[in-house]
Amino acid sequence: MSLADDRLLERSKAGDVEAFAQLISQYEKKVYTIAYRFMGNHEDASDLAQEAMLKAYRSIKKFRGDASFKTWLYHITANVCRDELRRRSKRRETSLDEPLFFENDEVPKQTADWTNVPERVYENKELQGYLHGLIKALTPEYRMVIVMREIQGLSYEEIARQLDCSLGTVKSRLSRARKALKDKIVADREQSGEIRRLNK
Amino acid sequence: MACQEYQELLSAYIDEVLTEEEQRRLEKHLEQCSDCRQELENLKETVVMLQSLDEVEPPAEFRQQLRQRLEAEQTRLTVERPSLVSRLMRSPWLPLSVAAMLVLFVVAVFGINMFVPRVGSMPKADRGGALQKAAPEMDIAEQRAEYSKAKENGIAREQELALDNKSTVPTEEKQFERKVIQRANFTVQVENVPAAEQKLRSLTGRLGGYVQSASIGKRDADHYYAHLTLRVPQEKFNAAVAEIKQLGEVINFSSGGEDVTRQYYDTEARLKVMKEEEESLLKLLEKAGKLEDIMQVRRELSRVRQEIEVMESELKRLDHLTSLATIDVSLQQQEVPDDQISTKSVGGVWSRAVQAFILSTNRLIKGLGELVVGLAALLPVLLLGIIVLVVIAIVKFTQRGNSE
Repeated sequence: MSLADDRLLERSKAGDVEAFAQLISQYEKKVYTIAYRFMGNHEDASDLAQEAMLKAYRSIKKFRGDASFKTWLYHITANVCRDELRRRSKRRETSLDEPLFFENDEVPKQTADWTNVPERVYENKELQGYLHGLIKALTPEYRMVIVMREIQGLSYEEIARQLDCSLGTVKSRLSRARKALKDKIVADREQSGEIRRLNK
Repeated sequence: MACQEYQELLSAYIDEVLTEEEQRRLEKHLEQCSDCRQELENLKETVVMLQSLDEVEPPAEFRQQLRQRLEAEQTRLTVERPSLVSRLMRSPWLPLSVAAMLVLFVVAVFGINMFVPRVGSMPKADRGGALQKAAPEMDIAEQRAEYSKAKENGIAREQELALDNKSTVPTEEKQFERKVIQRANFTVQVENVPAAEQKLRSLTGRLGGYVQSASIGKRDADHYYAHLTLRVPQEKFNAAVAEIKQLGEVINFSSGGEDVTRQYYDTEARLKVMKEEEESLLKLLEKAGKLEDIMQVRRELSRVRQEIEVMESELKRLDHLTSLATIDVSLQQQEVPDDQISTKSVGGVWSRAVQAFILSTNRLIKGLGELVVGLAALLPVLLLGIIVLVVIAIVKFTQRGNSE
């Protein structure tokens, strides 16, 4: 965090909206992305990312700088989204323990054209949409660990702490979530008749 | 170890969080098992793809929306920090809640009026004992308590019912009606003793009773006194008591009842036996032949008849006593009639002031006590009301939270 950021932080603590808006503008994209991966759609992502930033603004006086501001902000964002997901899944009465990897099988068939330029495949907009569809289709339980690990880049310990579960649970849950995604990808690829890449 | 189990370790292996032992064994297995190597490759690729997902650009209006919400938040935080109370005040639920509270309150007050006097008089009734109690401002509830005291345990309630309304006496009571002699004793200070005496007489007549005895006289030049014994029907007892209290300042009042039920029915049973005896004696007399026998039967018969008469008059007396209540009233002249100037009352002003002070202090203390009792009685209702309000508030704010 730069010296300028420190000054912005001080002014934000004094309630200065202008300073706070300036401070968070550099993390805005990441906050939004986290919310988007968690919630799956732009509408919820927009709402919850804003909600998270409001929450940060409300409690910025309590931010003592133990962690970096960035980490703290992402943490709040993930919390807000997780709470929302939990509330929704509770409302729908779906059990988190159900051995379902996907909420339904209607994963968007936005299968990328794998044949073309494999090096640039990751920049492919279609691939991005395809992967996002896969994450979105995961049950909230798996979606959470995937987003926390792959998008937020949190450690196993951090995830265990935030989800209030054991390290072993994180390990197995992440393993199953990744396997589910991988199986789906492999299956879709085989279906699209393009087996070449993964079965070199 | 089966491939399945090794494959479960792959995810952790990619993140390098396996124990050394696990890692060593997995790597050894991977060297031999191409399926698992393939699995690892696929998984790795999935993870890389996920981790390389681009950040997503927020929609165009995102920043502006956020800014608006932030500014709204700022004004909320700084300008007015609404307390729970003011938020509740603005709540659309407020009128409903207030109405609910009012209903609860009315129900509570009504309920208290229904049962508090009884609750208050219970300990007195339990204590039993002395009938006498100087209580000029005694109310109906306390009167009832007084009766209860006078009666034997268990009778009190039925008696009260009988007094209040004869028709509500339970059926079992009808065949075995309570016989109670009601008594009340008044000492009343009045301005004009002869006038009060006349009032008492007319009152008694109006209630369908009579004046059993009356005496009126003068203690000195301007001090009348009177003593009357009134008999009024049982069911008019309360009305009479209430009216007598209106005569003047009641300086002494006591009331009570004597339960003569047992006495009454004992006598009645003995009477029945005696009448049977009489019957059989009469039959015997018809059969008796010898004069000696006739004389003996006659003597016995007259003795039995005498006893029957005694018992019948006793029953009549009890019937009479229990059908009419007895009220003794002593009338005293007030020290100074209001239409005369006297300096007599100047003496003892100080002590009366002190008395008045003590009296009103005691009343205040009593009143405060009643207030505490009343509040305690209201407490459950208030708590219920508060719980209802809190639930409403929670529901309200949860809804609001959801809509945000």
